Amino acid sequence: MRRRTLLSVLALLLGALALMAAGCGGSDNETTGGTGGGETSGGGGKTVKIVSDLPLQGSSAAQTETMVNAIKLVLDQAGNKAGDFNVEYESFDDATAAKGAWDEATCAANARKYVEDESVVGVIGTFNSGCAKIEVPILNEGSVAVSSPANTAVGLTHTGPGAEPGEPDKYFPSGTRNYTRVVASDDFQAQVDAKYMKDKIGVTSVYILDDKDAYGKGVADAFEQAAGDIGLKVAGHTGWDANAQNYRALMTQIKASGADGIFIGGIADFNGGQVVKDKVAVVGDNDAVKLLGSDGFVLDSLFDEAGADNIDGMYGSAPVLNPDDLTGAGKTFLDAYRAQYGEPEVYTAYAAASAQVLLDAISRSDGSREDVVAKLFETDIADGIVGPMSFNENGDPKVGLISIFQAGTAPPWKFVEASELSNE
Amino acid sequence: MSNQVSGQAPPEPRGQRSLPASEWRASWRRFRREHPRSRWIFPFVAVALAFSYPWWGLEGPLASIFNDGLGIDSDTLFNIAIYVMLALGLNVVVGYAGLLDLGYVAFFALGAYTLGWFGSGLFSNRSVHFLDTNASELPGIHLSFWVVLILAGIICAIAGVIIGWPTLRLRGDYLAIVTLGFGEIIPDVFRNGDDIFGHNLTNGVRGVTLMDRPGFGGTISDATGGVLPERYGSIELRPWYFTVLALMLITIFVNLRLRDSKMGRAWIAVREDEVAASAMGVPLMRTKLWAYAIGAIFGGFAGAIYGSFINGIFPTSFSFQISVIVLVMVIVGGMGNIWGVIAGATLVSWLNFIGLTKIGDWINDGIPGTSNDINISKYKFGIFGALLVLMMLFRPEGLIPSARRKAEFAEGEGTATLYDARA
Amino acid sequence: MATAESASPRVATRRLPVSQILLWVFGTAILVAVAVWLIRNAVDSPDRFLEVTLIGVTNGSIYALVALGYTLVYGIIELINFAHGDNFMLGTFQTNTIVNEGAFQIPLFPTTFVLGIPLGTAAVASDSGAQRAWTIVMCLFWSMLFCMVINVAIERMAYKPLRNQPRLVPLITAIGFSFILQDVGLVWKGAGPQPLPDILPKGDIFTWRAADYGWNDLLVIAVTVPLLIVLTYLVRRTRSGKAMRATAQDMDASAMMGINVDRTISFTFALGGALAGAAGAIYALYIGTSKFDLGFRLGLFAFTAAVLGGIGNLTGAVVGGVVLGLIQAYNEGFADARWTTTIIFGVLILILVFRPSGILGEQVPEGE
Repeated sequence: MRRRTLLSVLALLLGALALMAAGCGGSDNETTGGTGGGETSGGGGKTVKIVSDLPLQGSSAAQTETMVNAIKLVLDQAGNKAGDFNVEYESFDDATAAKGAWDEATCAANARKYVEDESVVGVIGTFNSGCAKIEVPILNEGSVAVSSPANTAVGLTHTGPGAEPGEPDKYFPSGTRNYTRVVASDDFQAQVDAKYMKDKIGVTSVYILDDKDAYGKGVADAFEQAAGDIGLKVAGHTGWDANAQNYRALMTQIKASGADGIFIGGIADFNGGQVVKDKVAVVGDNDAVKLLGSDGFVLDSLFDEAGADNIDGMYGSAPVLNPDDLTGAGKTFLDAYRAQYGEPEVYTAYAAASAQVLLDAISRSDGSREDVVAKLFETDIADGIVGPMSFNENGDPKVGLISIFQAGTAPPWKFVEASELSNE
Repeated sequence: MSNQVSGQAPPEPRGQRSLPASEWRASWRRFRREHPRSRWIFPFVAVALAFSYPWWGLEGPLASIFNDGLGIDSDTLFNIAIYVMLALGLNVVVGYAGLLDLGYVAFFALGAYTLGWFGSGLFSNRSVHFLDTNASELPGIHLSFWVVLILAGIICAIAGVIIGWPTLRLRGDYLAIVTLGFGEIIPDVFRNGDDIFGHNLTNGVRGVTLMDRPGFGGTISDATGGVLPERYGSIELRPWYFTVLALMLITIFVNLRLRDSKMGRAWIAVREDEVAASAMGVPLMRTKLWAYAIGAIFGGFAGAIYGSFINGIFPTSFSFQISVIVLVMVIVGGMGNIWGVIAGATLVSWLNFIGLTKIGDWINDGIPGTSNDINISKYKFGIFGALLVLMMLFRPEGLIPSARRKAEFAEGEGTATLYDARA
Repeated sequence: MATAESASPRVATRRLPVSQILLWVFGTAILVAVAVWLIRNAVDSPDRFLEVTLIGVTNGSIYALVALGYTLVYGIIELINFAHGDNFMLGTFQTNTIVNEGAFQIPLFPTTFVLGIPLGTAAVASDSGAQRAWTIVMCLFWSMLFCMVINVAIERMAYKPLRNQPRLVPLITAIGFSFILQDVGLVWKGAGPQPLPDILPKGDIFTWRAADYGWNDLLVIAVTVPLLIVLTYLVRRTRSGKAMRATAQDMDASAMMGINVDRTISFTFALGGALAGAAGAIYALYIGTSKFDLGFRLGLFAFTAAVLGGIGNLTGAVVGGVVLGLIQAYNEGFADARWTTTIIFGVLILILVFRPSGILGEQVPEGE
């Protein structure tokens, strides 16, 4: 017994020794890693690398695959060059098959990979805001520029309804912003939706539903606040369980609340079709009780999942324009895209815009990470793929755009109007 | 019942089976008999290899095999170490005491949220700092990570007792279901915890981001010449890895000591025959509660350090799948045998994180053309399920079984009441 | 430590009644609180209460069908057949294939067996009631057969060789099969929700005050009730049923009496599988979408229903299923839908702690 104790203690001691040795090695390594970005500064003809970080498995895959293609196309069109620099591109996946969605450990590991690879100067991504909240602080320490095509969480860039205390500064430990996005955030969408419901649809009392997931809860909370601000009565707010078989009982509660409008914040993949179906079955059709779904419900697949009769008349909003409604450079780009890869999805053009912004910043920079970040915030593209693009000091697009759509009896969603909000 | 099995060394095969080819094995056995301490050689070598992995696995000539070939980079390494810890914790509950716990993820989650409560900016209207590594103006409750770690252990142990007290009297399969229920309830409570009577306790589904990191503070860091870092970085992962390894060593040490303690023998007695154990004066409830609480403590440790490492905790991360994967690790390795569990956890977590993807790549590269390429990660759950079924059918005692467990399974019939007695 | 241990058995017997009384007071308090809350809601809004009750009963019928499969198997070999819920999920997928493609498909095999009947979109397009009914019958038949074969195959392959092992062993095997079946579903149909068109006519059969009763609600009842009657007949009146009950009571003794125990157990699994298939078909037709991970959660809920009613007890499973459906519906209709998962698993835990034998009492081999 005693001997074993002795041995165990010895083993622990050895462990402690190894730990110390590791500490030495660790701190050495850290210094070289930290300055890695600076060493790439230098003359033309150099090769820099950009990566995309998207969930390529699970329910988002249909969107993200087109996004990867769009980035490839942008690089092709630019001849794999940005100014004097040769640009390499690699696509990373932040999802696991097991989850079918982004995975926080994968996100963290990816971000570290980018920082450690000294040739990486920019990241196109992420798709999900939750993943961005993990990656941005790590990338910030390595001064890697981030250009997101799809993150809408408010707190990533600015304070406001839906942002948490401490946001956004807590994501930028170095004190310098390195994150931009080409879409407007949830608080914009919530404001536009609330106003549209009150003024254009004529809803007097609204019931709010969310999918109990990060995005849905965020936009629903922002909507609740926005509705309160403009004097639209909120009759109630609850969440639905994506694993429940149906929502009829829940809908009786909405019917009893007397609301003449329902706002759904969330993603259709979380059994959203069933929610719409049961809403129509219990509360009434979309003429009697209006229905407005956030971004994430404006999907053609919803016509199948909810049934075309049930979706008829439903409104939807998104911080993007549909591929068919893009003009100018966007239309040209999507025509080229169609010729090479087939039909684009909603976020396809936005991934291209993110890539465009990043390449533009690289071309104006000296090739170092810090300079790419600085130049990214000076972006001013007049004829961008999704319209003029420039960022405020928070990294939000200076002009935020929210589109309203309405569903008929057959896909696609019909574009109704777009609101632009200044974000200066 | 225990004379034929020593509890330590596996039973030796009969003499006539020693073939010339396995001469060395016979001499090794003799060597072990003559030098009882020699059984520490393997664990010792393993620990040394694990600690030195960053030097020979991530760098140097072997890196092309381990880092690139097998895909064990620093992130995977950390995750493997975390899962080994979880498996060792679950081993106390399942392996030693024979209580099937299908909700072990609850303690992992609780440990992570303990860090959320006491080591992040979640309660931003408070400002409490205690030996932490953050700037002092940061709002929120920030206790030293090491204090939070201990707190996580304590809170999980208390939760284990609270959960266990009414449920541990149930027979085995009911207990499994109840623990599964708790494994579902606890993440669901965290998910809805942003509005409990108007209080935001968990920040709900948006999760808690930016957690405190371990560190030793400036004074200790300077005094040790930077060996103990002031604050762990987000890029340099070695301190993280060594911290988990150190925690793991503590876990192994506690596991070993417990196994050979009076409590450990009580667990085995309860596992083999509750009624007999009770008749012999073993207090059933207390014995089981101890197993449950001690298992919970290690889950809490693992949760706290995982949350800090990932720098964010989300209620969606703590799913039933994790409970099952940890259970697979314990079963594949060999219930009740620490070395088996460690080996099983290393193997299964490697498969889980990167191994299956790598194997899929090898297969796809091996078969020319891309038309037949398979996405093996899609089959992950099926593969783990099949692993469970095959293990149960052909080797229920695990790859490296504990001798006693092997004897129990070999006994077969007559053990039907093993998990059935009602207290 | 030593003295405490030797003293504890006596201490335990003295303490037990006190803690038991405390538990019962606590349990009764919960029940009374729930009853008061329900009555208050019923008085406040009787129409809606009725509507929610109807919804609860309909949803509960599906739980009941799945719960029967758990309870049958548990009653005879005391195994929580974790794979049952996922078997049910495969049943919904099979119905999905039949309605969408008019064909029967063995999962993971690309070839489908086209059934020479007007199905799917054809049936929706035509107004013929007979065609709709035929489609439903076909869905039921093939899904039941499909799930029956899966269940029996699993039993023969895995549970049978493990019959004499400690209980933990077949239980873990069942979890393994649950994962395998889930993966089969994932690879078969993909990760997203799988919709199928409405087979049944829209609209309500009758509306009484606020409560609507539609054709699809009727379908659930119209299938569940006859199935229950057939099942009860099978178990109570036939020779196989008698063999089942005998095997459940004492496997060795019934083997000595000349009952083919292996075949009886397989027969039980076949019955359970058929019920899962029927539930799957109804679910797919009634709800209209299903997903590969549906079986895990719904299976657990159904198991909760079986425990609630008294495991091993056929009537208990039905009662438990309906009660569970009602609990869920009342929570979603009058309280907060966010908490459904917590409440249902909470009910499971409370039942197991306070009354492990369930509402109607359990009937298991070694049941007390």
